[in-house]
Amino acid sequence: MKMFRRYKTLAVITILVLMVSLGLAGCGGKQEAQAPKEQAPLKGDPIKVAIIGPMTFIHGEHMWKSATMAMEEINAAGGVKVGNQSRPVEIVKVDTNEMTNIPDAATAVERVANSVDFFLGGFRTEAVLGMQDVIMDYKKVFISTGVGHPNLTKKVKDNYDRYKYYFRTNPMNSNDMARASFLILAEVASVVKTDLGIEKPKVAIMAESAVWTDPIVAASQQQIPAMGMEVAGVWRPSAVATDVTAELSAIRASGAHIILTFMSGPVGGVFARQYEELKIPAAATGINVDAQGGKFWQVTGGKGNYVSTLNLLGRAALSPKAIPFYDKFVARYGEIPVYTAATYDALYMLVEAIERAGSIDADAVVKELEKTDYAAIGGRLVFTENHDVTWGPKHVTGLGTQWSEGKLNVFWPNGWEGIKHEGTARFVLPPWMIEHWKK
Amino acid sequence: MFPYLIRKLFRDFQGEILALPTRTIVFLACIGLLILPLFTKNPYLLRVLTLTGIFAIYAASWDLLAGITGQVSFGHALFFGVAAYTSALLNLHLGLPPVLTIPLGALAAVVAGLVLGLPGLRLKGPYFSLASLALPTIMMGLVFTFPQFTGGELGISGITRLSTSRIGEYYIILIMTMGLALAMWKMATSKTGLIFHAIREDEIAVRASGLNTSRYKMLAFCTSGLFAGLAGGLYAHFMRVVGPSTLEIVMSLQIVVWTIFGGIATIYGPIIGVFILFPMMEYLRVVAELRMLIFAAIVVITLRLMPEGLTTWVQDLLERECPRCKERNAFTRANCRVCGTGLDPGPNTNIWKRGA
Amino acid sequence: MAGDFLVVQNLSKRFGGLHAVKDVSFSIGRHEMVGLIGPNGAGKTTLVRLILGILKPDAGRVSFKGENLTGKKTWDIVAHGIAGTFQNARPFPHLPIIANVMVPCLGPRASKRGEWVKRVEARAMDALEFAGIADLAKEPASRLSQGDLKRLEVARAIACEPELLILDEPFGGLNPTETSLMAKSIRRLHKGGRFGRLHSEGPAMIIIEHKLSELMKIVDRVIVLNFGQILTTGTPAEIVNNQQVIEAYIGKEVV
Repeated sequence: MKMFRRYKTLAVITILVLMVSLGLAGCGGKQEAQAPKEQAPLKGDPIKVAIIGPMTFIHGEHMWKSATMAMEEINAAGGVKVGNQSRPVEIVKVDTNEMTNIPDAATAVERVANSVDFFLGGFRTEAVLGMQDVIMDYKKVFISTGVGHPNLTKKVKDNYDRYKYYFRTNPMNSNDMARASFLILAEVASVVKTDLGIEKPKVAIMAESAVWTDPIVAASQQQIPAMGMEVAGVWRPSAVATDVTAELSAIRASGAHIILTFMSGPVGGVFARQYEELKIPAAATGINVDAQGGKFWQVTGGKGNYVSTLNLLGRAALSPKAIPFYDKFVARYGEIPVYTAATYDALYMLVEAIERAGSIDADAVVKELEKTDYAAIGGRLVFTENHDVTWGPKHVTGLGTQWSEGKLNVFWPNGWEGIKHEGTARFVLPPWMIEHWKK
Repeated sequence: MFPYLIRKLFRDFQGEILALPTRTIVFLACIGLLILPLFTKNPYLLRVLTLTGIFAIYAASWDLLAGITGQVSFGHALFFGVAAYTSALLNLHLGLPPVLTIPLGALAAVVAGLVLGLPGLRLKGPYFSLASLALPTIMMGLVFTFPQFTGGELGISGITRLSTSRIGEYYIILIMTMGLALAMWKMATSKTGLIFHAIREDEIAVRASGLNTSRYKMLAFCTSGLFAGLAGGLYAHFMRVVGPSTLEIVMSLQIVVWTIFGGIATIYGPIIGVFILFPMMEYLRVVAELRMLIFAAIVVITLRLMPEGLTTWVQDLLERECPRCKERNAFTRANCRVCGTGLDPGPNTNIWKRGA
Repeated sequence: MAGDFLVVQNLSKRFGGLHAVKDVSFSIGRHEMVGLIGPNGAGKTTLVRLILGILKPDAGRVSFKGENLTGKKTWDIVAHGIAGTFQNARPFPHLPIIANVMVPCLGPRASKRGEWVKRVEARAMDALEFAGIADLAKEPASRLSQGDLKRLEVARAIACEPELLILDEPFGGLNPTETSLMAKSIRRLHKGGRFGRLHSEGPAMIIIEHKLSELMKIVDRVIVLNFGQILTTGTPAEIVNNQQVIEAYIGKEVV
């Protein structure tokens, strides 16, 4: 019995501490804030910007990492000039836990709503919808940097007065994403045609079985013949498959020259590894979220050469800042940035708008944000009337990126509409493919 | 007549609530929650408490089915999700007010539960649990099959608020929580509730006692679904977004943790469990990275020390059972308040025995 | 002598390769008290479970008061007026004893009769009183001794107010004094009448028992079961002297 006494005291104390601290939570406990360090202190109160995202997942992490870089640069350069004051930026990390718990996300946002001035981030569509409503209730500016659903910006159009505080800088919406993936396919097809002398390449569609891929697969089956190619077949592995050798063998047997992938789950990494291991004689392109950066190269164990995907960030001079940002990010974190790292741009755009408005008043900032014409790391960013990303030549287009020995090279746009950024290389066909088709 | 009623009310209050420390605590907590907005109007705090209320109804409804009747369902999110979606769609497309959409949503949840769950209800024990696990997944499949109707992954948004102010929402949901909790508790302690308890203990013996257990199990299933559905409808109108996350497995499983933590098969256990664990999870945001770990550690340690849940433990700590008439008494009393039998005064020091 | 009270015809049940009950037919009259005996594994418990509808027979038919009960659910059979106890007591362990007995009082058969005894708890109390465990009413059933559990089983069965009561080893686990008390109670119950607010129909009875000496004192007739088949039937006096029965029971030990 005595043994348990000790536990009892322990438990009672733990519970008491919890109860007391529970009371404190309501009064707004501590938040992890990354205040400016090292630099000489700036005058004025910091402008607080919440970075909201799934911080235990790579996409949330890269939001935070890239925002940290932007904040440090801005503060080192003298902060934000608001009127005649120079105010520092302070970013506040808000883990929305949105991948596993939706009500959590909106609650996390409301928790800081009164203590921060601006919001950046958001990743999972359903969670962003909830957070969007909460932030609009508080009439604060919310720039989302991770979610591409077109309906989010449609609300700005439908109910401008309420949703005018919502902007999207990244990624382009999913309709534009599909358009861009066909342009990349055309680029790859032209390489196949010229290098191998194949008149009418065959395209194997390999899409994970998920709701989002259904319309894209249907569109591809129409689009590919219209582009002067032939559909070799459609394969639908599970988004979490750990082995796709059966599909790949079938694709090899079908005589396909190009594999058009649509994958967002871990199957993307599996595909890349087995693609190189089995030396499938076809060029892999399309959308493969796993291959967009991050720890892809480590995950595939260094197998994944020649796999390509539509991307939003890459090491190409889309703007003067793009290559320096890319190199700095890789050097500092040892990871290739995924697309949510464009939170870096969002913070810069926000700061510019604040400086132009001369105030952090939300309505004034919205007016200035609408006039944004910014050379972002993913391309020139101008907002549509819906506060969405304008897509097209001379604006954000997306990129085609291809893996080569742990590096992610940009191969598209390569002369499309006369656009070719510095740092762009031509799409490379795998040597085993050339061998297979040249004999 | 009137003064008599007042006197009677006062006497009942004294005899039924003040006489037992645990009831006094619950009573004070209710009063505290009711007057809280007088002291703070912090919308974040009110939001957390409002969500707590919704999930408390939801957890108690699971307890009614799993704890009381012993039909351990791992697919309770089916009711929650279907009701949330139905309320949202009725509100959005037909413009019905929450007063109608929430009950209709709950009814739809029961119907969906019957249609999908009827074959499963014949199964027993772990087979029922496993089959129930699949139910929300089936519903999720439907959601994704008709995206133009359900919004697919995006869900449905633009739902009417319960009230225009956060305080209004807080009071509506708080009072709903108290009312529904009382209703569930009354049901669990009624004669029907007795049969539910007996079915959990030994279904064959109940059949041999001449009771149609299938009918009572169905009744438990529907009632529990109805309450879970009400919680789902409230959730839809509070969050103003309903998406597939309402049908996710997490939704079905977190109530299990809450209920077992608070004390299963008691109705008040899960409610108190949610009122402690849900705000605690919020508080743990200060250590975002370790949040889940700390949460899990607290739950595991609590259950190691209080295997029958927190509420049962506190009850044993603060109250003694009269050895003769089995009425509960405050630990301060020397004699039973009903039959006058002598009691050992002082807090119960034997409560760790059960954990040992 | 049998009439058409309980009629069992050609009842059979197999468990895999084991033919537990093989083509059993017998009948019982309204006021009879019948003992069902046989060595272990003879199929006694299976037989009563078939009658109570807890198991479904492979073949054969059970009818009660002219109505076919074969394939009916247990609760329906109880509603028709047959109640039984379990060989291994099956209480609701976490519920108080009184609640254990209130459950059958809430059944359709028990609650539709006797308008003047609406109060379920009082009736349950009377059933406990009859079984002799009223003083333990508020204890949880898990605290009961084996003998008291047997009494609880009996209390629960009579709370259904049956016309046919099937007792599976009512003396099991009881010491000699308790056994004779229980035997007395059973006889009293069989006579019928009122016990407080509880009404006894004076049910016919089937009693499975191994304590033959006690059993023979109270039953009118004995059915002997061996290897799933009826070996013989007769009055207690006949059975005691039946060579076949003695062989079936103690033959093994002799050989």
